[in-house]
Amino acid sequence: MIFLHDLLRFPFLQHAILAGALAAIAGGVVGSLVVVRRTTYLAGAISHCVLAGLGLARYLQRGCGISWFTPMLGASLAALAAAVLIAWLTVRHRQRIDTALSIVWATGMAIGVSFLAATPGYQDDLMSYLFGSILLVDPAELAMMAVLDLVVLLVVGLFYNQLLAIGFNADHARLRGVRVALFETLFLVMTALTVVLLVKVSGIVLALALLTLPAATAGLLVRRLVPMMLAAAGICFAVTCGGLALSYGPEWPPGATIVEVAVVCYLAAVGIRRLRRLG
Amino acid sequence: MSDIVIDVEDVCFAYGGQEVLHNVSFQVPARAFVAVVGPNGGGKTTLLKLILGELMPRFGQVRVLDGLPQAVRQRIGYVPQSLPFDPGFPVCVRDVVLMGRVDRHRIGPYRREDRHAASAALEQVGMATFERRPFSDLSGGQRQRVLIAQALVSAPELLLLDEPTASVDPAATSQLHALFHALKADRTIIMVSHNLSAVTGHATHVLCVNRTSDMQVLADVASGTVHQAFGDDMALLQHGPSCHVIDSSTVLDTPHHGAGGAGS
Repeated sequence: MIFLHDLLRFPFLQHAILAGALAAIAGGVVGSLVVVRRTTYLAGAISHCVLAGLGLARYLQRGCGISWFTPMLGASLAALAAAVLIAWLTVRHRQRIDTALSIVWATGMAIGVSFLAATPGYQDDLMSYLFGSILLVDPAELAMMAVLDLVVLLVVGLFYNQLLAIGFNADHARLRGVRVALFETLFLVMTALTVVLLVKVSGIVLALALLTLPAATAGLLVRRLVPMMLAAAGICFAVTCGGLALSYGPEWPPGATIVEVAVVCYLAAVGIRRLRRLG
Repeated sequence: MSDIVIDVEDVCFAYGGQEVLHNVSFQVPARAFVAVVGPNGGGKTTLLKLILGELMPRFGQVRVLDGLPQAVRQRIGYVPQSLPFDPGFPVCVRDVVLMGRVDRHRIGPYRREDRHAASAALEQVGMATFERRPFSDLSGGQRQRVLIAQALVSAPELLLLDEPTASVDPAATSQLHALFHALKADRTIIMVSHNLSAVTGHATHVLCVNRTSDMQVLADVASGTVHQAFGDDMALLQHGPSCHVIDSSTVLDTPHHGAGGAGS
């Protein structure tokens, strides 16, 4: 109740809800693709590489006085670089891809921690980067999130057929003239942009949960990809609002609470499906 | 378009050091229905993949529809032997069929004519009532028919089928054979089959593929030619002795024609 009361009074709460909505749109759409293609491990590697970008941005801003290099920009660049690197690795080292991804995953985090350690001043950022800072989103970041959303929706909308075809059977898509490597890369780039949006809500460690849990929940309830995307986006937004509201009164960490609500939702969907099968 | 749809000339292919096809040469005329027979591991699927351009010959040349396989790929329909299918993938039958036309539009959704073509293709394979059903709900044989519809929806000039009736029940099998019979009127069909007796009614040629490969195109299965070459028992075709396979030791020692006489 106090949450609803304060929501009307405080812009930071309104920004948080808006950030949740923007993250949920891309999260539902791309998260569904990630889940049905079983590429959550790729998304995990990308999201952990985001720390390198955040660390670099913090270092450049505070250490070198380059104020325009915002953490959001750093995160986007790091995620894109990781996506392109992983796309290349999946083509070149398919047999050892899990090892290659683990190396990318750990290297990204290590670089991030080193940059943050080298940054002068109070080390306040690491926890918020790892576990999210949805209550600290400012309007400039909201605008950037909206732009990223637009890019993701446009690309997935225009190339939906190709993305579906390579997900279902890449060999067949190749025979039908789809440039599989190009669209695999594009898919990873979309994953990267979505991860940047979700990191804003729940942090690097928990972004993966928001990417996969709502989509996995939706996948239990519907049987086609587009309804799954819509349902996943709705679930993602609902659990974000629910988590925020729950955490607000007792001052729990919002990112963690959001993820816990998402887990409860997923388990409830599993239960509903079991009941449906029995009945 | 010339009358020769597939021209395979002195083709050798190996997976690593293991040679699967050796000095393979044959031609397929337009509107032929070729039944490809031979033992397991004899190179039948490999040969289809060479025709598709999915594999490249080590020696020799494959030309399809007057071009290189990769260049004409979109005019070929292909139904694989098995599909690495994830039952959790959320697509309905129509979605799968439409993927056969994914190359029609570089961007944007499928158009009305694509959906009409998908419905027509499903009608052809007798799966029209399943259009909206989740693909994962279908039986193996039903999925196979949907994949045939997926190959048909792009109106291919050449249709490659790798044991298309392997997991289909007898009633649906005869329905599919009737379909292939109707289709061969205006396109070329290459069909790998273990069950030769099932295709003899429709096939115009038999291609025998066995490992180090002696390959023969036999015109007019129904006439006495086959009996002359293979004896009376048609079912024996898929087994070694009556397939006239040259003993592997002699074949492997012969030079690769495609390599200008270089030894193997």
